[in-house]
Amino acid sequence: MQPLIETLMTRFPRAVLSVEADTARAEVSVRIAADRLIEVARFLHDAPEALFDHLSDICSVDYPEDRQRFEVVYLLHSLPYRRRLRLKARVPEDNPAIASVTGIWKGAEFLEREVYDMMGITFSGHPDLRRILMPEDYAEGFPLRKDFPAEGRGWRSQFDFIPRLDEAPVEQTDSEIPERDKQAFRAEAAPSSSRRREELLLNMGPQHPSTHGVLRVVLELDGERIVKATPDLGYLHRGVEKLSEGLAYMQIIPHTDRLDYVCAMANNYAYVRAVEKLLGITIPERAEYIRTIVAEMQRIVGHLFWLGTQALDIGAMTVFFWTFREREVLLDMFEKLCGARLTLNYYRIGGVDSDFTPDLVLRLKTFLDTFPEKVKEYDSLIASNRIWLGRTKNVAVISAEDAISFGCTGPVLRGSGVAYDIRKEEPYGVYDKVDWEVPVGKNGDTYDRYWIRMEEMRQSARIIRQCLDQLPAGPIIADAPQYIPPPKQHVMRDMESLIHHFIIFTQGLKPPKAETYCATEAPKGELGFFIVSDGSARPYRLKIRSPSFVHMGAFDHMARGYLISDIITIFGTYDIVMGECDR
Amino acid sequence: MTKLKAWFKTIIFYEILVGMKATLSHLLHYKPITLQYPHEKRALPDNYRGMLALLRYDDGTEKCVGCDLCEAACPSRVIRVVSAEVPGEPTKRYSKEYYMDMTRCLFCGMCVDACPVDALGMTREFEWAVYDKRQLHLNKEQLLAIGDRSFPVREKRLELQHPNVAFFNVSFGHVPQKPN
Amino acid sequence: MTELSLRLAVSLAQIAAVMGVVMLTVMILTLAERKVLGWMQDRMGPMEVGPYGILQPIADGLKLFFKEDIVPAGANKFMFSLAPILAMVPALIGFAVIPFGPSNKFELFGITVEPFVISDINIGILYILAFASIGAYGIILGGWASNSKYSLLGGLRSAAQVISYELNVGLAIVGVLILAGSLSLVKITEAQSGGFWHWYVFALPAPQIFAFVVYVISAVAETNRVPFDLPEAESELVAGFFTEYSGMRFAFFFIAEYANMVLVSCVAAAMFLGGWNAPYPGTILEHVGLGQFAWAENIAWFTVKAYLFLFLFFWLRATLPRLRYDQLMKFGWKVMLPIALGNIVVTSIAVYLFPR
Repeated sequence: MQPLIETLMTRFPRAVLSVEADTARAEVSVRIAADRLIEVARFLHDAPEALFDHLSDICSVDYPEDRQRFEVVYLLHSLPYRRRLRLKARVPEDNPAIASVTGIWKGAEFLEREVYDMMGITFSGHPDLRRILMPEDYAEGFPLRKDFPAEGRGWRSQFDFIPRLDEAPVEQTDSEIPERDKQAFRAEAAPSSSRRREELLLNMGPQHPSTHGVLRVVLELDGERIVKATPDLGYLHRGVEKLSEGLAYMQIIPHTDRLDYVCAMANNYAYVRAVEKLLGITIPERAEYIRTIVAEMQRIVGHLFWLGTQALDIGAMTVFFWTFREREVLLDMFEKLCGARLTLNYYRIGGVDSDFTPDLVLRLKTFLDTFPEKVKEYDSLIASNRIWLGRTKNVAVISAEDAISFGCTGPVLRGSGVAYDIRKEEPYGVYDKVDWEVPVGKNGDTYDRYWIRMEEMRQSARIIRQCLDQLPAGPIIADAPQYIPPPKQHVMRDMESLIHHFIIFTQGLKPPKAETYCATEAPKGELGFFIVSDGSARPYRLKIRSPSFVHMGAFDHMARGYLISDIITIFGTYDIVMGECDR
Repeated sequence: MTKLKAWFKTIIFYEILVGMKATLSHLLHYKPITLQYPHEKRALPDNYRGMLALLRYDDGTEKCVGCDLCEAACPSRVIRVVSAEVPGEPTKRYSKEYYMDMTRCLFCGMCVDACPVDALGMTREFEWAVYDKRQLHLNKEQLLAIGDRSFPVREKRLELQHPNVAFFNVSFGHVPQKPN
Repeated sequence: MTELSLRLAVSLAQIAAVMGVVMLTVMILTLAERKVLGWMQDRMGPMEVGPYGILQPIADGLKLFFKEDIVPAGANKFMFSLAPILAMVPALIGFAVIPFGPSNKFELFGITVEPFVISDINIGILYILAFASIGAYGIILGGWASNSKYSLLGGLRSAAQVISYELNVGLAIVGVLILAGSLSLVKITEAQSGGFWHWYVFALPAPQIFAFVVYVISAVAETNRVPFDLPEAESELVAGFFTEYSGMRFAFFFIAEYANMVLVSCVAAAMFLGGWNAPYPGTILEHVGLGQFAWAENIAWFTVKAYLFLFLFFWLRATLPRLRYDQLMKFGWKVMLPIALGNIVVTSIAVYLFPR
C-alpha cells in the first residue's frame, strides 16, 4: 500500500492533503481536496498499480464546528489486490457540492443520492439527483445533519398516539397522474419524435404480494418488455443511523437486528465486529467458534427463506413450506439458545450472550445429519425441472464488469464469476480454521445465483459440523472491564464489578477517538459498518453499508429488456430485504 | 446412447415425474408439522424472552431498588422510574413509580441484563394482544402481578439477615456482626 | 299433462340433479384442493370449521355472500357484472351432454327417459367446445371492465392462452372422433365398452396416448391452472383479470374455474378412459345377479375417473412452478399443436389400413 500512497502523493501533490495509516486496524485513509476528486478517483480506478474497481460505500459525516462542515467519505476496494482505501473530501456549508463519480463507478448513483438525501450535499454530474429514502417532496431539511432533531420535523413527525376515528375521509384523488410526474420514470426525455410509442407506466407496489417488503417499482413497459424499471425506496426507512447517534454502543445491537430481519444475527455480527475493531479487543476462542456456528446457522436460515420465497414467486409453492419446515427447526434452536426467534440480540461486544449447552450441540448435530437430504428434496422439485430452468436460465444476467462497477457483493457478484468472499479474503471468526469452499458461478444469471445459494447452504452445514467438532471450552465473552460489563454474579459481590457495571450501563463504553470500517459476509452480500467515534459513549456517525441497497442500484440495469414476469424473479434473485435496504 | 436417453427423458417429462413423486410421497407418508394453535401450544424454553415482570423476594418485598439502570440501558426508552427512599429506612431506596411502555418495547432483554439485583425477569407470556394501546402501558402493580404469575419460586432475601450490611442480596455470613 | 310439459319436467329434474351434484363437487373441490395441497406440503389445510375442516366451503360461501359489493370507480357496471356470468354459464352448460352412466332407457307416462345424460345430441363434444369458447369472453370482459391496468393485462393474457389451448384440446380429440366415428359422447362411451383394452387410450389400431397427454396438458392450460396459471398468478399481477372482483362476482369466477375443471375431467374420462365403463368387461353387480343396479357401479367408475383427474390437477399445482407467458404460448403452438396434428395423421392412416 505504501508505494501506492507515494505514487498518489507525487502525482497529485496539491490534491492529497494528508494520509493517515491506522496500523492497528490495518486501514489507510487519504484526505483529498474536493475539487480534485475526479482525477484522483479516476487514477485510483484505472491505474494498474491501484485498480480500485469496487466501490463499497459513499458516506458523509457532519462536523458543524469546522469551517468545511461536511466530509464525504469514499470507501474503495480493490478486487485484484484485495485491499481497501478510504478517500475523504471536505465541502463547506455554503456550497456543499462535489463532483459525482457515477462516471467511474456505476454503483455511486444510489449511494450519492442517499448522501444528498441525508446530508444535503449535491453531486454535480449526477444523472438523477433526487431524494431516495425520504419522500420526494420532503422539505424539512436533511435528516443526518447534526442540527436536525432525531424526533423529526414537520407534519410527518407529529401524529396522534391514539388515532382519531372521527375525521372526515380524504377526498377523491384524480386517477390520472399528471404527465410531469411521470418524467422521472420514463427511459428517455419527453417524446420529441413524431411517432409516439404507446408506453405503459405500471406501478408495482408498495403493497404487492411478492415484492419482498415494501418496495415500489415503476415500470415503463413496451407491451410486456421492460424499458425502464425505477425503484422507489424508503418505505421502511426508520432512521437507524440517526437513532444510533443517540444510543450507546451496546444499545444499538437490538436495532441492528431489525435491519435484515430474515437473518438477524448476521447484522449483529457485522456491527459487533466493527465495534470490536474500533476498540481493539480480542475475543475468546469459544466465543469465536460459537459466533461462527451461529452465523452459519443464520446463513442457512436466510438462504432457506430466500429459496422459499423465490420458489413461491415463480410458482412452486411446495418448496416454500418445506424450507420453512427446516427453518422452524433452526429457529427452535435459536429460541433455546437465547430466548427469541427472529430478532435475537444475541451477540455482545466481546462475545456472545449465552452459551451453547451440550443438549443444543446434540440437536444441531441431528439437524445437520438430516439436512443434506432435505436440500436434495428441494432440488428434486426444482433444480432440473425444465420449467424452473426456463424461468431462471439467462434471466437477469449481469456481467462481471457491471457487477463490480455497481458494487455488488455476495452471491450476486459470485454468480458472475468473481470469486470474492470476505470470509476467505479478510477472515474473521474461525473461517480460516475449517475447510470449506466458495461456490462461484459462470453466467451471472438467476440459475447460477440459485445454485450458489444452494451450495452455500451445504458449505455452511459443513462449516458448522467442523466447528462443533472443534468447539473448545472457555469463556464466551472477553474480559475487558472498561468496555464489557462483568458477569452478573460478580456484580452482586464485589465493588469494582459493580462500578464497572454501573458505568457501562449508564454512561456507556467509551471507545478511542477513531473511525473504522468493517465488512462482514452477510447472507445477502457485504454488510459493512462505518463507525466514526469522537471518544464519547455514542457513535458520532454510524453508516450501514447494506448489500440490498447497493443491489437496488443495479436493479434498473438488470431489468431492462425482460418481461414483467421476470421482474419477480429478479427481486428474488437479488435477495432484497427492505429492512436492510431502507434502514 | 446418452443422447437417446436424454431425448427419452425429455419426452416423458422425467424430471417433472421425479418431482411429482416427491410430493406424492409427502402425501402418502403424511407427517404434518402444523401446531394447531390455540388448541395446542408449544413448550417454550426457560430463557424465553416474553413479557417483562418485576420480581419479589420470598418475604414479599419488591426486589427493585430504583437505581434506574434499566431505564438507562433500554434502547427504546421504554422504562420510566421514579425512585424514592423507603419510608422509615433512610439507607434503602425503592421505585415509587415504575412504568413500562410495552408498545415500544423490543423485548431485547437488556434491562434484565442491566438490573444489578435481578429485579426484572422475562416470562413466557406472549399473548398480550389488546384492543386499546393504553392497556399496554404497564405500571408497577401490573408488572409485579405478572411476576407473581410466572415466577412462583422466589429468591431468598438474605440482606436483612445481616443488619450491618445493606448491600445487595448476597449472604454475608462471614462478616462478623458489629457490636451495637 | 301434455307431453311437452312432462318432458320439460323430466329435463328440469335431471338438470337439477346434475347441477346439484356439480355444485356439490365444486364445493368439495375447494376444500379438497386446500387439504390435498396441505398434505403434500406437510401441513394440515383448513381444520377449524367443523371437524377436520369439513364445513370450510360453507364458511367460504357465506363469507362471499355477505361481502360488500364493490365496483371500481370508472368501471362499466353492466359489463363488470356480466363478465362473471359469462364465465360461469358456459362451464355449467357443458354438463348437458356428458353421460354419467349407461344408456338405459325407461318409459315414464309415455315418454322415453334417459336418466344418465340430460340430452344426447348428436354433436355432443362440439357443443362443449363451442361453449368453452364463450368462456373466453367472460375473461376478456372481466379484465377490461375492471378499469385497471393489471386486470387488463391479465385478461388479455388469459384470453390468448385459453384460445390457443382450446385449439389443442379440439385437435387432440379428433383422434378419438376418428376412432369412434361419432361426435356424440354417449356413442363414444359405448364404443369403449368391454374392458380397459378397448379404452381409446389403449385401443388398437391407434392407441391415443399422445393425444391423451396433449389433452391433459391443454386442459390444464385452458382452465388456468398451474403450471399455466400466469394470468391469475398471485405473485405477479396480484390476481390477473379478477383482481377487482369481490363477493359474489368473485364467487362466480371461482365456481367457473372449478366447474371448468370438473367438466374437462369428465370429458377426459368419457373420451379417453372409457367413461362409465369398468376396466373389466361388464359389471360386478351383473355377475352377482343384481343386474338392475349395474348403473350404480358404472356411475361409481365414472366418478372415480373424474376424481383421479381432479387429483392430478392438485398434484400438478403442488409440484410445478409457473410457465412464463411467452414460454406458455411457445409450448402450446410449437410443441402441442404439431403433436396433435401428427396424432391425427397417424390415427387416420391406422384406421384406413385396419378398418373394423
